[in-house]
Amino acid sequence: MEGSTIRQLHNMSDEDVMEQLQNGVVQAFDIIVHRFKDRLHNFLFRYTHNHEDCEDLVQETFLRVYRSRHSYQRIAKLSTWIYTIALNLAKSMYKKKQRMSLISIHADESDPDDREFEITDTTILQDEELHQKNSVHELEKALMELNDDFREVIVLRDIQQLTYEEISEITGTAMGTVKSRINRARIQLQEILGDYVNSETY
Amino acid sequence: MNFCKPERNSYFMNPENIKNSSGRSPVSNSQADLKNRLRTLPQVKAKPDFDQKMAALFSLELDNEIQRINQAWLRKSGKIRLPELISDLRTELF
Repeated sequence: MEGSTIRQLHNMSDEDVMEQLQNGVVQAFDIIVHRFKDRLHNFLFRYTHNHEDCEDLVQETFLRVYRSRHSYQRIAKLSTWIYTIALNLAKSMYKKKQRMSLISIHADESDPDDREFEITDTTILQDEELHQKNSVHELEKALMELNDDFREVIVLRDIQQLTYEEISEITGTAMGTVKSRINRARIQLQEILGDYVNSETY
Repeated sequence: MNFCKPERNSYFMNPENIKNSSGRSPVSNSQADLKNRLRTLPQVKAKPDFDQKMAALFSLELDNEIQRINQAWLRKSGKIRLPELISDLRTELF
Protein backbone atom coordinates (compact mmCIF):
# COMPACT_ATOMS: atom_id res chain seq x y z
CA MET A 1 0.00 0.00 0.00
CA GLU A 2 2.76 2.38 1.02
CA GLY A 3 4.85 1.38 -1.98
CA SER A 4 2.05 2.16 -4.39
CA THR A 5 1.49 5.57 -2.74
CA ILE A 6 5.16 6.44 -3.22
CA ARG A 7 5.03 5.26 -6.84
CA GLN A 8 1.97 7.41 -7.45
CA LEU A 9 3.64 10.40 -5.83
CA HIS A 10 6.70 9.99 -8.06
CA ASN A 11 4.50 10.39 -11.13
CA MET A 12 2.76 13.52 -9.87
CA SER A 13 3.61 17.14 -10.62
CA ASP A 14 5.29 19.19 -7.88
CA GLU A 15 2.03 20.96 -7.15
CA ASP A 16 0.07 17.71 -6.85
CA VAL A 17 2.69 16.29 -4.49
CA MET A 18 2.34 19.42 -2.37
CA GLU A 19 -1.42 18.95 -2.31
CA GLN A 20 -0.89 15.44 -0.99
CA LEU A 21 1.34 16.83 1.75
CA GLN A 22 -1.36 19.36 2.62
CA ASN A 23 -3.78 16.41 2.88
CA GLY A 24 -1.55 14.69 5.41
CA VAL A 25 0.41 12.28 3.20
CA VAL A 26 3.82 12.57 4.90
CA GLN A 27 5.58 10.54 2.19
CA ALA A 28 5.03 13.51 -0.09
CA PHE A 29 7.63 15.38 1.93
CA ASP A 30 10.34 12.89 0.90
CA ILE A 31 9.44 13.39 -2.74
CA ILE A 32 9.73 17.16 -2.38
CA VAL A 33 13.10 16.79 -0.67
CA HIS A 34 14.27 14.43 -3.41
CA ARG A 35 13.21 16.82 -6.19
CA PHE A 36 14.57 20.04 -4.73
CA LYS A 37 17.60 19.17 -2.62
CA ASP A 38 20.20 19.58 -5.39
CA ARG A 39 18.60 22.68 -6.88
CA LEU A 40 18.51 24.34 -3.46
CA HIS A 41 22.10 23.37 -2.65
CA ASN A 42 23.24 24.82 -5.97
CA PHE A 43 21.29 28.01 -5.34
CA LEU A 44 22.14 28.56 -1.69
CA PHE A 45 25.82 27.74 -2.08
CA ARG A 46 26.15 30.95 -4.10
CA TYR A 47 25.07 32.82 -0.95
CA THR A 48 27.02 30.99 1.69
CA HIS A 49 30.11 29.75 -0.16
CA ASN A 50 30.30 27.20 2.60
CA HIS A 51 28.86 23.70 2.43
CA GLU A 52 27.94 23.54 6.12
CA ASP A 53 25.91 26.75 6.13
CA CYS A 54 24.41 25.82 2.80
CA GLU A 55 23.23 22.45 4.10
CA ASP A 56 21.76 24.06 7.23
CA LEU A 57 19.84 26.50 5.05
CA VAL A 58 18.52 23.75 2.78
CA GLN A 59 17.34 21.74 5.79
CA GLU A 60 15.69 24.79 7.31
CA THR A 61 14.03 25.57 3.98
CA PHE A 62 12.46 22.10 3.85
CA LEU A 63 11.27 22.32 7.45
CA ARG A 64 9.67 25.71 6.69
CA VAL A 65 8.02 24.19 3.63
CA TYR A 66 6.47 21.55 5.87
CA ARG A 67 5.48 23.94 8.67
CA SER A 68 3.84 26.42 6.34
CA ARG A 69 2.45 23.84 3.89
CA HIS A 70 -1.11 25.09 4.38
CA SER A 71 -0.17 28.60 3.28
CA TYR A 72 0.88 27.37 -0.16
CA GLN A 73 -1.69 28.05 -2.87
CA ARG A 74 -1.61 26.58 -6.34
CA ILE A 75 -1.60 30.00 -8.00
CA ALA A 76 2.19 29.86 -7.79
CA LYS A 77 4.52 27.13 -8.96
CA LEU A 78 5.83 25.09 -6.06
CA SER A 79 9.43 25.72 -7.12
CA THR A 80 8.84 29.49 -7.01
CA TRP A 81 7.42 29.23 -3.50
CA ILE A 82 10.30 27.09 -2.27
CA TYR A 83 12.91 29.42 -3.81
CA THR A 84 11.21 32.36 -2.09
CA ILE A 85 11.51 30.65 1.29
CA ALA A 86 15.15 29.74 0.59
CA LEU A 87 16.02 33.26 -0.53
CA ASN A 88 14.43 34.82 2.56
CA LEU A 89 16.33 32.45 4.82
CA ALA A 90 19.60 33.14 3.00
CA LYS A 91 19.06 36.88 3.33
CA SER A 92 18.32 36.72 7.04
CA MET A 93 21.36 34.51 7.63
CA TYR A 94 23.51 36.94 5.64
CA LYS A 95 22.22 39.86 7.73
CA LYS A 96 22.98 37.98 10.95
CA LYS A 97 26.51 37.29 9.76
CA GLN A 98 27.00 40.93 8.82
CA ARG A 99 25.85 42.02 12.27
CA MET A 100 28.30 39.58 13.83
CA SER A 101 31.19 40.91 11.75
CA LEU A 102 30.27 44.48 12.76
CA ILE A 103 30.60 43.54 16.41
CA SER A 104 34.10 42.24 15.80
CA ILE A 105 35.12 45.49 14.06
CA HIS A 106 34.25 47.46 17.19
CA ALA A 107 36.64 45.63 19.45
CA ASP A 108 38.22 47.86 22.11
CA GLU A 109 41.84 48.41 21.02
CA SER A 110 42.90 49.83 24.39
CA ASP A 111 41.93 46.62 26.11
CA PRO A 112 44.66 43.98 25.62
CA ASP A 113 42.14 41.23 26.27
CA ASP A 114 39.86 42.52 23.58
CA ARG A 115 42.22 42.12 20.65
CA GLU A 116 40.88 40.63 17.52
CA PHE A 117 42.48 37.49 16.24
CA GLU A 118 42.20 35.82 12.91
CA ILE A 119 40.52 32.50 12.62
CA THR A 120 41.31 30.54 9.50
CA ASP A 121 38.11 29.18 8.14
CA THR A 122 39.16 25.74 6.99
CA THR A 123 35.72 24.94 5.60
CA ILE A 124 36.03 27.75 3.07
CA LEU A 125 39.43 26.44 2.01
CA GLN A 126 37.97 22.99 1.54
CA ASP A 127 35.13 24.41 -0.50
CA GLU A 128 37.54 26.31 -2.71
CA GLU A 129 39.65 23.25 -3.24
CA LEU A 130 36.67 21.65 -4.90
CA HIS A 131 36.85 24.19 -7.67
CA GLN A 132 40.13 23.39 -9.32
CA LYS A 133 39.89 25.53 -12.39
CA ASN A 134 41.02 29.09 -11.95
CA SER A 135 38.34 30.53 -14.14
CA VAL A 136 35.64 28.87 -12.08
CA HIS A 137 37.22 30.17 -8.91
CA GLU A 138 37.40 33.69 -10.35
CA LEU A 139 33.79 33.55 -11.45
CA GLU A 140 32.62 32.35 -8.04
CA LYS A 141 34.62 35.13 -6.41
CA ALA A 142 33.23 37.73 -8.78
CA LEU A 143 29.70 36.56 -8.00
CA MET A 144 30.35 37.13 -4.31
CA GLU A 145 31.49 40.67 -5.07
CA LEU A 146 28.18 41.61 -6.66
CA ASN A 147 25.71 43.40 -4.45
CA ASP A 148 22.87 41.29 -3.04
CA ASP A 149 20.20 42.45 -5.48
CA PHE A 150 22.38 41.76 -8.49
CA ARG A 151 23.69 38.44 -7.23
CA GLU A 152 20.26 37.00 -6.47
CA VAL A 153 18.88 37.77 -9.94
CA ILE A 154 21.89 36.55 -11.84
CA VAL A 155 22.06 33.32 -9.83
CA LEU A 156 18.36 32.70 -10.38
CA ARG A 157 18.53 33.51 -14.09
CA ASP A 158 21.91 32.26 -15.32
CA ILE A 159 22.65 29.45 -12.88
CA GLN A 160 19.21 28.21 -11.87
CA GLN A 161 17.81 29.16 -15.29
CA LEU A 162 14.46 30.40 -14.04
CA THR A 163 12.19 32.61 -16.13
CA TYR A 164 11.95 36.37 -15.62
CA GLU A 165 8.43 35.85 -14.34
CA GLU A 166 9.53 33.36 -11.70
CA ILE A 167 12.40 35.61 -10.61
CA SER A 168 9.99 38.52 -10.36
CA GLU A 169 7.75 36.46 -8.06
CA ILE A 170 10.60 35.11 -5.93
CA THR A 171 12.28 38.46 -5.37
CA GLY A 172 9.03 40.41 -5.15
CA THR A 173 10.19 42.94 -7.75
CA ALA A 174 8.65 44.13 -10.99
CA MET A 175 9.58 42.28 -14.18
CA GLY A 176 11.18 45.41 -15.68
CA THR A 177 13.36 45.82 -12.60
CA VAL A 178 14.39 42.17 -12.79
CA LYS A 179 15.42 42.52 -16.44
CA SER A 180 17.40 45.68 -15.85
CA ARG A 181 19.06 44.22 -12.76
CA ILE A 182 20.11 41.12 -14.69
CA ASN A 183 21.57 43.27 -17.44
CA ARG A 184 23.41 45.52 -15.01
CA ALA A 185 24.58 42.53 -13.00
CA ARG A 186 26.11 40.94 -16.11
CA ILE A 187 27.88 44.17 -16.99
CA GLN A 188 29.20 44.51 -13.44
CA LEU A 189 30.29 40.90 -13.43
CA GLN A 190 32.18 41.41 -16.68
CA GLU A 191 33.85 44.45 -15.19
CA ILE A 192 34.87 42.53 -12.10
CA LEU A 193 36.24 39.73 -14.21
CA GLY A 194 38.08 42.21 -16.39
CA ASP A 195 36.37 40.56 -19.30
CA TYR A 196 35.98 43.62 -21.46
CA VAL A 197 35.40 43.30 -25.14
CA ASN A 198 38.82 43.16 -26.76
CA SER A 199 39.67 46.37 -28.51
CA GLU A 200 40.91 44.40 -31.54
CA THR A 201 37.40 43.24 -32.26
CA TYR A 202 36.45 46.82 -33.15
CA MET B 1 25.42 68.25 -57.45
CA ASN B 2 23.83 67.86 -54.13
CA PHE B 3 26.30 66.52 -51.68
CA CYS B 4 24.76 65.31 -48.53
CA LYS B 5 26.68 65.89 -45.39
CA PRO B 6 27.41 62.52 -43.84
CA GLU B 7 25.30 62.20 -40.76
CA ARG B 8 26.31 60.45 -37.59
CA ASN B 9 24.43 57.23 -37.89
CA SER B 10 22.97 56.44 -34.52
CA TYR B 11 22.62 52.77 -35.51
CA PHE B 12 26.38 52.35 -35.70
CA MET B 13 26.96 54.47 -32.62
CA ASN B 14 25.48 51.64 -30.60
CA PRO B 15 28.19 49.04 -29.89
CA GLU B 16 25.48 46.34 -29.86
CA ASN B 17 25.05 46.93 -33.60
CA ILE B 18 28.70 46.60 -34.55
CA LYS B 19 29.22 43.14 -35.95
CA ASN B 20 32.43 41.16 -36.02
CA SER B 21 33.59 38.81 -38.78
CA SER B 22 31.11 36.12 -37.73
CA GLY B 23 28.31 38.65 -38.07
CA ARG B 24 27.63 38.85 -34.34
CA SER B 25 27.95 41.73 -31.96
CA PRO B 26 31.08 41.47 -29.77
CA VAL B 27 29.08 42.88 -26.85
CA SER B 28 26.43 40.21 -27.05
CA ASN B 29 29.15 37.62 -27.71
CA SER B 30 30.73 38.60 -24.48
CA GLN B 31 27.40 38.46 -22.63
CA ALA B 32 26.66 35.09 -24.15
CA ASP B 33 30.10 33.89 -23.11
CA LEU B 34 29.46 35.05 -19.56
CA LYS B 35 26.08 33.30 -19.53
CA ASN B 36 27.70 30.11 -20.76
CA ARG B 37 30.39 30.35 -18.13
CA LEU B 38 27.76 30.81 -15.43
CA ARG B 39 25.79 27.85 -16.76
CA THR B 40 28.81 25.61 -16.73
CA LEU B 41 29.77 26.42 -13.15
CA PRO B 42 30.08 23.14 -11.25
CA GLN B 43 26.73 22.06 -9.84
CA VAL B 44 26.75 21.96 -6.07
CA LYS B 45 24.78 18.93 -4.97
CA ALA B 46 23.54 17.56 -1.68
CA LYS B 47 25.92 15.24 0.15
CA PRO B 48 25.05 11.52 0.14
CA ASP B 49 24.03 11.58 3.81
CA PHE B 50 21.70 14.54 3.33
CA ASP B 51 18.56 12.38 3.00
CA GLN B 52 19.34 10.59 6.25
CA LYS B 53 19.91 13.85 8.15
CA MET B 54 16.76 15.35 6.67
CA ALA B 55 14.71 12.28 7.59
CA ALA B 56 15.93 12.53 11.20
CA LEU B 57 15.05 16.21 11.35
CA PHE B 58 11.65 15.58 9.81
CA SER B 59 10.86 12.82 12.28
CA LEU B 60 11.72 15.22 15.12
CA GLU B 61 9.50 17.82 13.49
CA LEU B 62 6.61 15.32 13.32
CA ASP B 63 7.08 14.40 17.00
CA ASN B 64 7.04 18.06 17.99
CA GLU B 65 3.98 18.64 15.88
CA ILE B 66 2.09 15.75 17.52
CA GLN B 67 3.07 17.07 20.96
CA ARG B 68 1.86 20.55 20.04
CA ILE B 69 -1.44 19.18 18.73
CA ASN B 70 -1.93 17.03 21.86
CA GLN B 71 -1.20 19.92 24.20
CA ALA B 72 -3.55 22.22 22.31
CA TRP B 73 -6.26 19.55 22.45
CA LEU B 74 -5.74 19.04 26.19
CA ARG B 75 -5.91 22.77 26.80
CA LYS B 76 -9.24 22.92 24.96
CA SER B 77 -10.70 19.93 26.78
CA GLY B 78 -9.93 20.87 30.38
CA LYS B 79 -11.90 18.04 31.94
CA ILE B 80 -9.89 15.31 30.29
CA ARG B 81 -6.82 14.10 32.12
CA LEU B 82 -4.16 11.80 30.75
CA PRO B 83 -3.91 8.60 32.80
CA GLU B 84 -1.39 8.81 35.62
CA LEU B 85 1.23 6.16 36.03
CA ILE B 86 -0.29 3.18 37.84
CA SER B 87 1.91 2.76 40.90
CA ASP B 88 0.35 -0.25 42.60
CA LEU B 89 -1.68 -2.65 40.52
CA ARG B 90 -3.21 -4.33 43.62
CA THR B 91 -4.74 -1.09 44.88
CA GLU B 92 -5.77 0.07 41.41
CA LEU B 93 -7.32 -3.16 40.17
CA PHE B 94 -8.73 -4.91 43.23
